[in-house]
Amino acid sequence: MSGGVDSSVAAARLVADGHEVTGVTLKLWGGDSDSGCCSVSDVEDARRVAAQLDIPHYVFNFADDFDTHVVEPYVAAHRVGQTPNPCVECNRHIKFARLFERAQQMGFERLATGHHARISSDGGVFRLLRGTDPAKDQSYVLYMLTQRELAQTWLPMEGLTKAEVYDEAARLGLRTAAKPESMDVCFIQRGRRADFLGERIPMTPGVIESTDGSVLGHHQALEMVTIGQRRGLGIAAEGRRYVIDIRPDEGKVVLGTESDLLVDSVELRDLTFTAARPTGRTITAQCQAHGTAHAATLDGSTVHFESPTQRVAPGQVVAIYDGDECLGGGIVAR
Amino acid sequence: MIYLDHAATTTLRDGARRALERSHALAPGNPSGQHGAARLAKYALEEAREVLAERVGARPDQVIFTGGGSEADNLAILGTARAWAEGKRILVSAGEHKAVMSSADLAISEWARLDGASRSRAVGVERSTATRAERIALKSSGHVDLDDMCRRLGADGEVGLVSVMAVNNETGVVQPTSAVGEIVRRMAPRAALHIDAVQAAPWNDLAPIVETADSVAISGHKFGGPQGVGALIAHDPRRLRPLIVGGGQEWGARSGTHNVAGVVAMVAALEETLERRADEAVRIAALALEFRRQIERLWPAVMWNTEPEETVPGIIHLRLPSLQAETVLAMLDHVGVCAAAGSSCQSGAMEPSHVLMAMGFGAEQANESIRLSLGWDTSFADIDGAVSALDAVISQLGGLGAAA
Repeated sequence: MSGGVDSSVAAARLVADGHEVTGVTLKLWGGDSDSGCCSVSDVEDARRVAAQLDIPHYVFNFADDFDTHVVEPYVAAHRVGQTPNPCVECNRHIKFARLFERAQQMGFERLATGHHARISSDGGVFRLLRGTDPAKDQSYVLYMLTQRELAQTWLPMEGLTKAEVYDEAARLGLRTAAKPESMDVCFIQRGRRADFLGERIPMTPGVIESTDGSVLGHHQALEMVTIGQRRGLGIAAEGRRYVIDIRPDEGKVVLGTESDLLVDSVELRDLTFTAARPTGRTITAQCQAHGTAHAATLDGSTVHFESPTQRVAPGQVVAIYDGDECLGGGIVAR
Repeated sequence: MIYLDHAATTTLRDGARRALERSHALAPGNPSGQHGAARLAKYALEEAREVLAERVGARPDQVIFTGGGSEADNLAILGTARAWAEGKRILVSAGEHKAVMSSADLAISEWARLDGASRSRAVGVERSTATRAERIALKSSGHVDLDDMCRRLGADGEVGLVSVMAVNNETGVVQPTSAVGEIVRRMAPRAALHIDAVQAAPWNDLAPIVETADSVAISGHKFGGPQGVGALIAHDPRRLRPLIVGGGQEWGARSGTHNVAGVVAMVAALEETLERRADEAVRIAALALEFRRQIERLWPAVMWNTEPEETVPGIIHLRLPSLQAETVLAMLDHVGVCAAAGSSCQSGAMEPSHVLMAMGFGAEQANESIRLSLGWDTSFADIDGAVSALDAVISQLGGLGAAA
């Protein structure tokens, strides 16, 4: 229970269904933050909701693991010009690993979260499906779940749109009903990403080039630039220019046109599958949390798009789908 | 429910409950007023003050009622340091409650800012750059290290304030307050000595502590009184800068309308505590010993973080090698046993205890430790129930590992 509306309603629904529910809030970050699961006021909100639901509530301190598995890799990835997804790593290493194990150790049968997605079981195989509200679907950040986790995870948000979640929270009189959604990386204060990274790694200034090698200008920090980025580089050029390449060794950022960004395939690493590896069928590949799913085929660890698609930044997640079913995914290798 | 967290807050004593009921049944009356209702309230307040003063060996005008133990500690430390004409060193034991630690650090940082503004003033080397109060080391037994204290008192730069608690709130270790007092008087006769006696009040005679120190903090809910009321017993309250200003109550040391019902109930709790303590201490020490004996028989790998003869009778601190206190406590709670890992913090998350770390524990060892604290109404059945609950939890978690 993050102190947000989704996990509050998730807990309420489980209680209403007659389950013996225990609420847990994770303390993940000791530093400054203004959203996420970390601040005292969020913990208080979660605690208050648990009290309203008359269920026990605990705070587990996984700050050390969060540092090791989420924050440090996040920083390290930026150092080599990548664009990591910390929420995915938190799900992989903290929520569905450390918390999952502790819940099992304590004798709980299921771990429930407020994610908007669905899990179905079909002939003993558990399938991860998109949430009911397409605008709020979070199956993308759960792509790393495998049969082991899916078999013991409940997603009580299934069947609810975000508007319905807010309605239900209000109807139950939960304190979190009026809370705005958190959107940012939970361990970084709004608008402070450059400061956060700057305190931890050196920032590399360098040249901004066009595809023909001519110098267009200079950037302050390669670590703050992302493939596909269009704004914020201070370059006034005719036509839309996108970051099409980042070369950490040379400190270079290369700008090009939208068509320069198009690629036919993307190479993934650390591929995982929710069930069996899909073979010989067309899949779709989704490269952003709420992005379009592009028709593709999977060959080894390479995703071949049926038509050229915008390049995805290394470090980002590509989740693969068959219709509404999330089959798994991986991290863009380069 | 089996409640073994009396060091956090203890059961209201019957005398305190009756006093609260009596006070609430009275007509409204602000003790600062000038009419009959006010006089009734004032009478109850001052009678309580006299009783408290008499029980701890102080004069009534040396008792300042506060909103609890933390406020009393803050008032003693900030109220002393803010009255100085120049920055001085502050020594606190490394095991102090955060109410002491944080106010001492705040006092130092306030003076560091002032010193930064006027560098010409001659202060000790360590002082001028310090942004927090100096910590006096703890020994592995949990006692304050008197040698370290002497070394620090003998170092350059005038020590203006020393704060050493009488009984540690996490481990229950009884500190050598009279030796601390003698050393401070001998080596730093001008320094003020504050003693946080919040955890000592349920168990130990406060008079010698009050005699030794310049100020002593107590808190009602630790000895059967209500929450939100405490007192600072100060040798000279008029020397303290107030934290709360306004109507000038408590000789100006603490403004704000008195919590009359709370004060009266706190003092009633103290009287009942003093009346029954001799018998209760023996009984509770026996219960603690019984717990230890039974657990030792079931799980010989359990480590005891303190020796019973070094602690107050009610606090048991133990380590469960390879098990996370967070997990163990949640599981104990699930079967209705309330225990703790040390002092609780606002978010409820557990941090490695600074007290255990000061005693030489690693973070991992500290995170394997839990505190069970017994109080005046703890029964043999509670102990029996706690033993079987803990036994079941350890079994479910796969037993204890070898101690690292």
